[in-house]
Amino acid sequence: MTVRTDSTLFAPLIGRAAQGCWLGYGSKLFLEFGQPQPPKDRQVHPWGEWSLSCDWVEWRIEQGERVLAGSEDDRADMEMGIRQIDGKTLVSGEISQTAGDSVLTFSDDLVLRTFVVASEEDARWNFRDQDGKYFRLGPERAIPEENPAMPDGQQPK
Amino acid sequence: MTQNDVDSLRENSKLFWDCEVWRVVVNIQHRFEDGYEPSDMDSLRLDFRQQLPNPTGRMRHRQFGALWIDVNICGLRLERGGEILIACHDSSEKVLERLKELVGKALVRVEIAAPGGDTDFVLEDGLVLRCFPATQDGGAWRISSAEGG
Repeated sequence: MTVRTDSTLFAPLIGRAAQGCWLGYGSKLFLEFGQPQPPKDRQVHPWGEWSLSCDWVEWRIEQGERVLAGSEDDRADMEMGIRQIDGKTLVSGEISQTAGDSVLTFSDDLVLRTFVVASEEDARWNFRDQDGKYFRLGPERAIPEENPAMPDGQQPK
Repeated sequence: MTQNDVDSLRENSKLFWDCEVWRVVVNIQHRFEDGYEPSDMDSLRLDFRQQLPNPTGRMRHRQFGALWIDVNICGLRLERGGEILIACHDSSEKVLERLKELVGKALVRVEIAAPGGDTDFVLEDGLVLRCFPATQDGGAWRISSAEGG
């Protein structure tokens, strides 16, 4: 079966380097892009000009024929895998229009795959743009979010 | 998981192709927290049987073996035609209602992809049980014969 994908949702991030990616509560993944920004108020983690985080997914980071880490590995292994994303440039990003699974391809043959694990939620990625506006990215949609759930220790702009 | 691992797993799985699910065993883990009681699928086992070539009397099948999936270390969905019927973090009621439909369905084929070990268990009626391993070693499921091998 051919899976239709939407490759436009990640367009603002294509060609940008990830920097300061981190692991939140459980296995929640935060990808930061662009120049690292100075911390504000109670922020305990780095943040970039743009940010992506994902909910209700399992994920796996692969490089070539190796799996570097997955969302059910030990925390130390997950953090080691996430550190490998730092410095890599996003080459492409696709979300399947049926399930909402995504494939983000970075430079150096690094690939992040996500797999949706809840059928009733159709927005899987939270995207924060350069102006601090939040969107939920799902199959065929980018929904502005009025009251974003903030990651650990961060405050809305 | 290397391509050799994938080829070997796929070859072993062929023993189960055309076998029919006669029993579905679902373990649900229910946790009690302050004001919150999450339930998630813990594991799924499909018990298979095979039709006897020359049935005698009331004996028409023989137990063949089982597929066991550790849902603690993978994502799991049941799909049809690309549409998600259930996913492993859906409500227990919804998961149980759908999984019982697997009884009586034959396994058509198993597709596995390296390096992650993503596996599609393709069943009759266009049903696909899709497994996404979320660990480095990718070993989220196993098959065993009725004799335990």
